[in-house]
Amino acid sequence: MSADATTNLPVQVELTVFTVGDILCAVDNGRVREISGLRAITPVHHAPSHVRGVVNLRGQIMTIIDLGVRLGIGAVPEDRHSRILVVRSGEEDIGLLVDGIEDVKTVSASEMEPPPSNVQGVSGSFLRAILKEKDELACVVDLDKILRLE
Amino acid sequence: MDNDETLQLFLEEARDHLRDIESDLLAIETETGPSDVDLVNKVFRGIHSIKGAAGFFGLNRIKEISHAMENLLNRIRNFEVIPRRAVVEALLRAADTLSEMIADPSKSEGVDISRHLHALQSVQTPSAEAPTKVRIANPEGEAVFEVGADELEIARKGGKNIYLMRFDLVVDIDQRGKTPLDVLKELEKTGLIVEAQLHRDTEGFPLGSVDSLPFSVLYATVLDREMVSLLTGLDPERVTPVDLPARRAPLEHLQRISRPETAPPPVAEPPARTDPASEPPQEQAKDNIAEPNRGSSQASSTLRVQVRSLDRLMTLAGELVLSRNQLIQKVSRRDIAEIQASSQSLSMIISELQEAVMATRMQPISIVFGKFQRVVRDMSSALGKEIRLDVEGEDVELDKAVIEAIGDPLTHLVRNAVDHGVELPDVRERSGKPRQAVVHLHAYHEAGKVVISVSDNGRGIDTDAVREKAGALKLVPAEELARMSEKELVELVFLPGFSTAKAITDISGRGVGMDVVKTNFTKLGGIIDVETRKGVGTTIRVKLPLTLAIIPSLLVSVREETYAIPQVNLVELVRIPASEVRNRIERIGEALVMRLRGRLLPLTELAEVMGLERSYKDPGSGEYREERRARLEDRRGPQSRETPEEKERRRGKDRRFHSASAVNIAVLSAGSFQYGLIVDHLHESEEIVVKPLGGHFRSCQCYAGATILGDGRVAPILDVVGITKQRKLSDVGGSRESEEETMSRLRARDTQSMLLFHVATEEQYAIPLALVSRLEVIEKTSIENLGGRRSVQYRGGSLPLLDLSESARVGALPELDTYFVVVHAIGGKEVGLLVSQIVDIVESSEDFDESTFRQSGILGSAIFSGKTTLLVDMYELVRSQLPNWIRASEKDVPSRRILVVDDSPFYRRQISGFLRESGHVVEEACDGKEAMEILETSRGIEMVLTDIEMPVMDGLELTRRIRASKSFPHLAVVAVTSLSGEDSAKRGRDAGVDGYLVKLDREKILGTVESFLQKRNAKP
Repeated sequence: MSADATTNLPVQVELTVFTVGDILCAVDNGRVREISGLRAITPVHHAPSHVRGVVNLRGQIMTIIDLGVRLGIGAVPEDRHSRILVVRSGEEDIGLLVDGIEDVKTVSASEMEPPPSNVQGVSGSFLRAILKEKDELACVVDLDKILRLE
Repeated sequence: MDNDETLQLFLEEARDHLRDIESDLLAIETETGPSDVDLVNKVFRGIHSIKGAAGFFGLNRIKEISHAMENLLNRIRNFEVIPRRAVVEALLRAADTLSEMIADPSKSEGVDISRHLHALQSVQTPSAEAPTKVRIANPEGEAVFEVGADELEIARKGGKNIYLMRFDLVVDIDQRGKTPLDVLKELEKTGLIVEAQLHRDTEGFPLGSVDSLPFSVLYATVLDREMVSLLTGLDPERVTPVDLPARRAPLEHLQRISRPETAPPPVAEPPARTDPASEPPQEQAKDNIAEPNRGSSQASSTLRVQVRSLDRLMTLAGELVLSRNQLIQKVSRRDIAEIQASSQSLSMIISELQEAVMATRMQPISIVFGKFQRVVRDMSSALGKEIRLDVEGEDVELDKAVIEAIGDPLTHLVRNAVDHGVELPDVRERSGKPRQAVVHLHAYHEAGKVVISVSDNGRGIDTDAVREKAGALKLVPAEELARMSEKELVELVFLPGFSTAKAITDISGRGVGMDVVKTNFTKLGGIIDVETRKGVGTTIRVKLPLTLAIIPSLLVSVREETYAIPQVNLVELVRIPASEVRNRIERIGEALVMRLRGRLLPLTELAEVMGLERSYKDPGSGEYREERRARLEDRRGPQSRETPEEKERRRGKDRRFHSASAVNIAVLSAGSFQYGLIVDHLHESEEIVVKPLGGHFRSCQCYAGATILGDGRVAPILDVVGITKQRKLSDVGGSRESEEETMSRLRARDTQSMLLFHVATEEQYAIPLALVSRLEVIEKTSIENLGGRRSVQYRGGSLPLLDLSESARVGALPELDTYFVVVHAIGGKEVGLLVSQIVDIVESSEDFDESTFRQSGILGSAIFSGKTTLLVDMYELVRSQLPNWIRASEKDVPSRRILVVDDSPFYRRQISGFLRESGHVVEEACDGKEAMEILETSRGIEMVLTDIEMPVMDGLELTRRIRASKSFPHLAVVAVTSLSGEDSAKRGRDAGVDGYLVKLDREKILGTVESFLQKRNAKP
């Protein structure tokens, strides 16, 4: 599959679209292992601030990252809309806590642009591209940057 | 063509061949002639196939070194070379390098194998005669191979023809759906491949193109050319016979060339030396010592699993599916009873499945033991000692992770035995010992654990030297040293900073001490024990749990958060009532400390470790409120100062004196010192499965993983040592001696197998498994009631049935369709205890609480699996429900004087109780030391019944002392213990024990006492 030069994403890509705070975000669906409802998060102290804690996912202890905190736009509440996006990171699964899941759609490279340095409070360094549709902007996030340990 | 896959296949096979090569070569080594030709052939074939295939992949160094090995092996199997030490040494070293090269083929081309080539060559031909080489060329005149003339000669033996065969990988092989390895294997069936080569250019790229890859093989076979061509489907033109120089050559360009001089090897020998055989081992042995831990812990991410384990998993998976289907059906029918039954069966299948999965991780310990022959051989040869290594129990299985973790510390122990334990042959001879020492490596199961023992018949540990050294290093105060028993002195070698080596030689581990070894084993949940006799030898015993992943732990909480503390780090639990907090908790500088039995322990609060606000639970509302007292230990507030009178006057609703503000402390052991962790609540003990925390928590020092609790919540597992680093805790002095105490405490516990069962549902009972003959199931309808006594037809007779609720005030046996029966033997007959359900069999090191639940029929209580469990008194049951039996079996016995030794007050009382009831006079001692004192002062003691595992002086030491002393000839010593296993029995016999008994088996104990004393009196 040939890649688009500007965003380095393949020409056609399937994205999972979700919300974090007021912002619409998207991630490459190929990296998403499953979507899980909210479950009890056990806090684990002395972890980086964006790590909310861990959950028991069918016997596996999975780290939960608050995507709101990670992107710098405020903690994601734990309510009936919140969801956990389970993604693969190296040898483990990591859960991203988000406000809600919107959709899964296939988009083409022409609908995407390189990200600016700041989108509604989210630093451009976390983004791979911006998706424009009608009046809305969706931030296509860079999973590896988000999951990086530092 | 998938080159990569083929390469992997080749490497896989090569590894297989090389795996056994070390032990095979050691077995071939002999001073006379090759005794096992089959073994030589096996090794030869393995190396030969590696050589053949290596050429194809362009792995020329690998090919060269295997070729050289193959030549030597060939000469050995033809009886031209004797596999003496030097020869095998050269092969072993070459095999080592070959293994390394196979492990990392991409680097193999750069490896310098010249010294191996030289060594392999020089052990064959003491005169440094350069072998002649023959160049083989194809009909076009291009040189294809260069082969040793003697090799060709050997290949030709037996009337074989030699052919140069030119394949085209694409045309002849690939397109026919075969792989090159297939072709090589086929050829091997009908002949010998002398050489094989894929033609490459100078850069190592295969010559030819995508359509044609030439590949040549030099082949020796009895078949004629046409047959060969038919067999391989190769055009006869491409099969060229090769004639040797002696005959007229149809080929041109055959020349004799001498091998070019190789660069002088690093270990240059002066040409005058006539016996190169003696030099290499020494020099090379020196090399060996300096090498880093060879072949240690190969942590790989694959493992071999027995097919039967997989079969079992398949079966269980099948049953799981069936069970689930059943459950689904029953749920839809909403039949509660059926659902319960289904869920029970599901539960059992799941437990079995879990066990089966865990079992796949079990690997035989031979994986670790395998390398020790070599280690011992190399070291003993370097040190000039004669040592034989006996290995026993190689089939014992351990979890893969445990096996990987014990490799290094075990190696250290073996090296220690060879280096320090065993004396030089001359020294041994002078002491009347055989020149050859034996190091015995033994693995076996005992009481649910795996025991690995390393023993030697060397010089033993010199406790005087230990005492001196400890004193000189000021590790222990002098007065204490003087008072220590042999056992306590030997334990000193485990102190950090201790090493009895006069010089820290490279051989036994570059100065790492026994304390590191011990820590390594303790981290695995194991215990280490040393037994030694000066001049006789030393045995080091390590006891390990069968699996790492499940550990016993204590759950604690702070606020609403639950954490797990591994039991192995837990020393004790302390609860300080509110009124005593002031006395026992103090501040020294910035640190909180606590007084515990005269020692000072540093304290830290779990809440602070986690960065939580300190809180207390308001006794009224149950809410957590922020702790306003700035200092925990200050019960009055930071400002005011009170006189004792003023304090007295304050009463009433002052929270500080409420029992709820008592302080709960878990005393933890962090290796070299202890500290206390203040928590809000202590919960139950649980066996938990340890799971790792993700990468984001790597830098958190306070966690050692996490686990999932019964209710599905996650609980982090505390890293006891990590907490000390995070909170910067250190020894405040005075908490160190607990190290020895801990050792004693850990060791002193005997374990007993207990059968747990229910009578009335939900009430749990226990009976020592040793008293159980068997378990049976009976239908209610088969129970007969005669004259008020229940019984059942059993094995051709009638088995009387006992009901616990008839003798003790306990819940009644429920009405069920089937009952379980626990069969017990007494007085030569059998009796059955009716129970409603068998729960489990557990190993218990618990001491029983005799006071709380004591009544007729119940001996005491303890906690098993979180439930209060009552210990059933079988003797009492029989006595109350079948009184005739007891009268019949108890004969008139003369009163004897007996000494009972046991560190557990419960067991001591039990055994003394049996004896006193029978009319004997009993003296009691709580350990070996006290026992000796009593024996020395009290007259007329006829027999000693002693426990084995006791602190200060154990049963075996006591027995030895009794036997060594002249004051007690003929004193019968019987060990009363719960450990079974031939090793304990043997140790007992070696010490001089006369017999073994199981605790709480009243009948046997009385019987044994009588029979021993009768025998003794019968002696003249």
